[in-house]
Amino acid sequence: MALDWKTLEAFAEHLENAELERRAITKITDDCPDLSWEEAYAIQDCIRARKVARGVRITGLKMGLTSLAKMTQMGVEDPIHGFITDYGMVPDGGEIAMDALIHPKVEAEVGFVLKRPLSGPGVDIDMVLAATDRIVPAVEVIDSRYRDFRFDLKSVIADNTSAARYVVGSSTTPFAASDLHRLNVVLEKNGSVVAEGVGATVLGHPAASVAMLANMLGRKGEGWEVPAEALILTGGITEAVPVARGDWIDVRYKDFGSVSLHFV
Amino acid sequence: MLSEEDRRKGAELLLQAERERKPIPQLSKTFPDIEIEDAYRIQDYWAQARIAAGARVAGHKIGLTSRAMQLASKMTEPDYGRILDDAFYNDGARIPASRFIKPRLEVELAFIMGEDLAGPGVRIYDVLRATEFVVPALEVIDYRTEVPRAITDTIADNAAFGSIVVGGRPVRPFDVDLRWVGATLSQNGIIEETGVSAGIMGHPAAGIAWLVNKLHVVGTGLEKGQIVLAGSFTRPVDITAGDIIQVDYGPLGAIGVSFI
Repeated sequence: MALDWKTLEAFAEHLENAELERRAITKITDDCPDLSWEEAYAIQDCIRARKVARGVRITGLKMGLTSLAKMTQMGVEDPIHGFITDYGMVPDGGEIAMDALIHPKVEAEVGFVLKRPLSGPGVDIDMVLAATDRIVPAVEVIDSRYRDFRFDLKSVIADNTSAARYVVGSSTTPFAASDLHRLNVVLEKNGSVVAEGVGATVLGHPAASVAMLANMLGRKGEGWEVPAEALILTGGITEAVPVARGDWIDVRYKDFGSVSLHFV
Repeated sequence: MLSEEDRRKGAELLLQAERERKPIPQLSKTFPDIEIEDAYRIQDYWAQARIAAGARVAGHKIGLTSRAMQLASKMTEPDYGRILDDAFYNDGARIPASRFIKPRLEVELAFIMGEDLAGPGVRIYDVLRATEFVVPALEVIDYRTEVPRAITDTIADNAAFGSIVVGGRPVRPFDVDLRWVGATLSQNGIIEETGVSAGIMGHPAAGIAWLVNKLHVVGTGLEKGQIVLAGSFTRPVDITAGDIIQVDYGPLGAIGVSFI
């Protein structure tokens, strides 16, 4: 890595302060055009370490850029990943304060919880399904710290892939994880359908997203894995929908359950 | 508002664009006073000319059925056009891309009417009662004018209708929950778009109820045997020659076409 630890730390502090102080900033690659993928993840890891040092619990991991079409457009072969925190968790039906966020958007996802950790290389969908303890409907609230959403992929990685809040559905019915590519999802804002999608949007099958995460972490090095008993958000089934104060979001998953949240 | 002469002229320009496969300047630029009513009258004149030349009206299409599309075109309601009988392709067809000017593909359901249906006051359940089958269908939309287009340009241009491809498994209206038909659109093996039919105004029959009430205002309705494209539940995907399109409707089967 070309950047020394101190510089990476400084970027991490700058980005985390933007999150904590609810301030939009310019993208990291404006200050550092030569930022490498490795350095972008190193900044994210610094942000994670800062939070853990303050007593924040990491509750899981999340995937982004999980559309093959978008990956092809951007000329990359891997999606991107980040982490989620205890203070990001919002109960189903709960309120999310707009005051704490910059310009949030919501997207419908599926979450996986594994019964045993998985680490690549060589993890495939089948191995993920065999290691899966449960799946849950989940809505992610993303909130890029970059002004006007002007960013590139490396800047997004450094910014913990825009992670902000998440809601896991509490009223669910059993759904076969192997059928998730056929899962139909409808996202309503204040009673009208504003976005919909099918599970296959996520890398062909949401379990493929967990497999790719395990393989990416395996490449990263010793000790990196998809942990057991942590929530893995697999990536957007719907597009990300902007929200405003007062909005009610209801996401319905066919034969699986629903998630609702309220922006105040 | 335009004179009847200008409306006829608008239809002639569109027919010329269609014949020459060359877009004309937007009618909203050529005729700055054009209103929505003019646009539908231009579409009527266009259809009359096509019918006089031997085409038959096989049904209707409904456009702008998603809130996102309505917001993008500053509309609060859908629009509609005619499906002519020379615009049909079957599942598996090899479709010449050169037939179109700027083809884009959308994922839809089509309703086959089992009874005549006329407004006013038609609601979703009236549509369901009059529907014989619902079947997966793709729509190729096309632009016979330059872009960007005002809503009047789109409506005059037969609501951008290009071609229809019907396939998959026909169902009766109560065989499945029509709000929950999901579809995955792959272009050359990569999933480009997915959607669920509730994206069409909450229920795919909602747009048809709107259409029937709208047709009542101009003194017509839907006839038994006619087909109605109920509106897209994905964003349009740009098409070029060489594309292979596969759309998986889950329990309702699949449609595949290639563009040559």
